[in-house]
Amino acid sequence: MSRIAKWLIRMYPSPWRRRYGKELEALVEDSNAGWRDVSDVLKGAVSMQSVRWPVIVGGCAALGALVGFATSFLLPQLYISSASIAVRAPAGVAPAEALAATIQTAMSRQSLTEVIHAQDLYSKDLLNKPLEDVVDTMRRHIRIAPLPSPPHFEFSFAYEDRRKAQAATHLVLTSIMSAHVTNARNTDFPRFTLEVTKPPQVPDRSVNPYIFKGSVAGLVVGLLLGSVIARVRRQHAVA
Amino acid sequence: MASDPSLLVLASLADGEKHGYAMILDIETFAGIRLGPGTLYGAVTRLEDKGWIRPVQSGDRRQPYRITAAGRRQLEEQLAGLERVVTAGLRRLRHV
Repeated sequence: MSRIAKWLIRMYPSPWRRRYGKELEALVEDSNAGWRDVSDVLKGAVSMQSVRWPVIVGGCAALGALVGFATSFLLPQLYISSASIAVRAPAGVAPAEALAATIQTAMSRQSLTEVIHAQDLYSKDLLNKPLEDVVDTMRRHIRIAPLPSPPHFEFSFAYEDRRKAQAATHLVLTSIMSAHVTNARNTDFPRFTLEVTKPPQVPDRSVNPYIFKGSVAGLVVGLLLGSVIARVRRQHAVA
Repeated sequence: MASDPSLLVLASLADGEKHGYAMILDIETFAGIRLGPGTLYGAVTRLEDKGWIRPVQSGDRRQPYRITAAGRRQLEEQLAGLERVVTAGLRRLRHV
């Protein structure tokens, strides 16, 4: 046990060890340290370390980030359902440019509101937020990005219920196809063909969208809390 | 108050210089409290910082300490305060 207690002396701040380390080692040897002495030396090391403000602030920040990271897993996780669409535009028209007006129609407030009501999405949010905000949330959860193999695009929607994620993705895709048909009648829009090359699947795995935000929020709270604790301890020390 | 490690160390050194282990044994004898090595050296660090004890020249790893005049005054003040609390407490107990 004495060997463990002597090893724990290394955890004291180095300036302290330079001054008192040998003496404490001699005391640990003399007192034939048991478990209580081992825990007492550890407690002393923690106490000595926490006197230094960078250790307090850094420790609180690290602890805060860890708590934020762990808490992010307690929040509802998101399932991402994705589909692929192929946009075949005539020469001289970029596929993304051709798709833009169609997407704008399919992502309109009216269109997304229909999907929200049809799939009973964001029911809790609808109780305390205006519909416009909920529609904005849905827009943020929709992602359209070109795939490495042109002219394919990936369309995805993230939601906390995997079946609803798939059903809503399917509905929004249907809106896109429907908007495409409507727009095709209008001669102002560029002519192009739109094809669903991979229909949306029910996602198997969830993703945690809060890891980064949760960890950063925890880090910031920890920094603030650590600064307050360090300040209070310093004032006490001066007093 | 009476179990404050700093007060116990000052009281232990009041009758002469001692090294750490001697202080632990002495405190256990007169107060019935066994201070751990970390607690004892925490108190020693604080007391030396305040100038209430100082190390005695020694070639041994077992460093003896001595109470200073300021430490003796501090101990007297703390014991006087403690005595007032003890006296008042005992007097009130007798009147209940």
